[in-house]
Amino acid sequence: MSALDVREVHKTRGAGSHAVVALRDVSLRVDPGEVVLLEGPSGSGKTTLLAVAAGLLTPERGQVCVAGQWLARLDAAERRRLRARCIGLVFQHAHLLPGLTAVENVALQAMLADLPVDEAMRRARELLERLDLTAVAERRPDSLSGGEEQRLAVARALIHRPAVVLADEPTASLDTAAGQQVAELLLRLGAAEGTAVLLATHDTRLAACATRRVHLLDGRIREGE
Amino acid sequence: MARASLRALVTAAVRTRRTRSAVAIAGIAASSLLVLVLAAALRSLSEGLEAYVNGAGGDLWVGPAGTDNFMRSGGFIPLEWEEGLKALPGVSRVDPVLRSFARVEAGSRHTTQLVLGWRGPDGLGGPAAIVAGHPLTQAGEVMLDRTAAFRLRVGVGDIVRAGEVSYRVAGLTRGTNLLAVQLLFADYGAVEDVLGTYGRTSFLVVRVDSGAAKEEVAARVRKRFPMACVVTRQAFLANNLYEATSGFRPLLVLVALLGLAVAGVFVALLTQGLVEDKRSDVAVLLAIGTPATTVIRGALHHLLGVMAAGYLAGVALARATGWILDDCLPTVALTFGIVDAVVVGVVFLAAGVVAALLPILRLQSVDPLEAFRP
Repeated sequence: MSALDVREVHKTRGAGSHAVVALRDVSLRVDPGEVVLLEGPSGSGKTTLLAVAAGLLTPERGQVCVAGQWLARLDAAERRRLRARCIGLVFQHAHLLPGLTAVENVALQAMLADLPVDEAMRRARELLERLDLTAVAERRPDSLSGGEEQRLAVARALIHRPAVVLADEPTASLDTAAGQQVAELLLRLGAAEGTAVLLATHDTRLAACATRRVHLLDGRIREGE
Repeated sequence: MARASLRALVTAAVRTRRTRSAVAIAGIAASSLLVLVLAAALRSLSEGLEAYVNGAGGDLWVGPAGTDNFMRSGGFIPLEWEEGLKALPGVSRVDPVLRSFARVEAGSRHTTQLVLGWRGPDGLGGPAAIVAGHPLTQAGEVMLDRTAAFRLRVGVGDIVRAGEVSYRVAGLTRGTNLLAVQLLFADYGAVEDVLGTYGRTSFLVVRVDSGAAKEEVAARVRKRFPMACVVTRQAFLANNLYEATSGFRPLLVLVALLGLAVAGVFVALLTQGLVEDKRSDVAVLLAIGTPATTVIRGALHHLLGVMAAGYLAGVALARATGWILDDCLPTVALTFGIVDAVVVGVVFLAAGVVAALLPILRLQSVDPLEAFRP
């Protein structure tokens, strides 16, 4: 069973004269442990595909299956629960919550996935240790570097051992070294957990880390080498 | 120290910046202080009247026709009615009270006092509580309310003048401050001499036998003296309270409502700021699977905390202001009870929740997609 199965999805963004077809009958499968690089220029539909895969956008046509569950058969609350338990999200900006400490930011996702508070905190501290972030565990995001923030964002996306991680240009706001570190971390930890990773990026240097590359152009998909 | 639950984390995540919260807390505290001080001022007036009327020992007040209070009374009744009243069944005791306004001076200071002449120290119509000095022992003595004494900068043993006559301050009373005016107690004969109202008096205060029904005795008095105005103690108190407050009660209510409105605006601004400030954080929370209801509860929890902190700070400030004024500037007794505090708190809470409702509900309209591309 694939972790993510997108079948002939068609999605239009905007309305009226501003309507743009973002995805044209896109199909894509990502298996457990697989790392798929989603490449394409700005406006090609990468973010729309990630949002559809996360159940945040509903396509006009086509089907999306995450961890064996067809999104079209789920109501809003069930999709929200699926997102909390089976999907990890990494955004272009780290988007850590400034009111929480580093470890709380990570543990929050585990609690949303119904882990008990103690277990969530224990797992978050363990993960921070693996990421060499123990020293910043009790610090707030505003006192962290961009690289540290994005590594924490990766930890948040993986702590609940999701079936699939959807990452939207996670290295775009980082310098080369920090970006490389974050990408390697995401791919290494994802692979170790058997998590499928769909990573949208402009960064061609990440190609070496991927098991497969997919190119998206004008809402159409093209498999690469 | 880690927070103990998902709700606590979400509440912390949607908390507004400390400076913004501090400003809101200060605003709500100031509004609470304003309303509580106004309530306390009104309460001190009613407590002053209650203390005097209940402590005066009379069950019925008999005055000239149309005179049902001593705040704005005029005219006199014959003093000889005293014997007629005593002869009525159910009447235990009768004492006259003469009332008049007088300018009281001490050095270069002066104040207007509501003078009550009574047959002290055991006669009906005297003060309930003496906080310093002693009851009257001779005609040349008076008892001042402690607020009046403060205004005149006099104490026990000092001399004050009323008209051309000098009096020694024998004691200071409490519960006799009616805000605009205080009660001054003097010997009945001395007041009678000054006013020249021999054979006449302002009121006859009647104590009813312990077993007798007050209304029945009042009916007998009315029948015996049809030209008199006869009111029970409760009615006398209510009439005085009405007379004392009718002038500024509408203003008091208006200012209290404005205080509430200000607090409501602060809360509304806070919630509006929360929605705008925290929009991207709320989008992230929703995107990663946080239930919208949990986010809204977290926001409400935070706002209720801010409101409670502001309100409690206001109560503490009002209490502290009352204590400080009582010690340093006892012109207004800022006394408010638990009921006042609870009522103001509930009204503030309701106003805050109503003001916050729309901005809080707007949190539901935040699109989690904003987390991807703000």
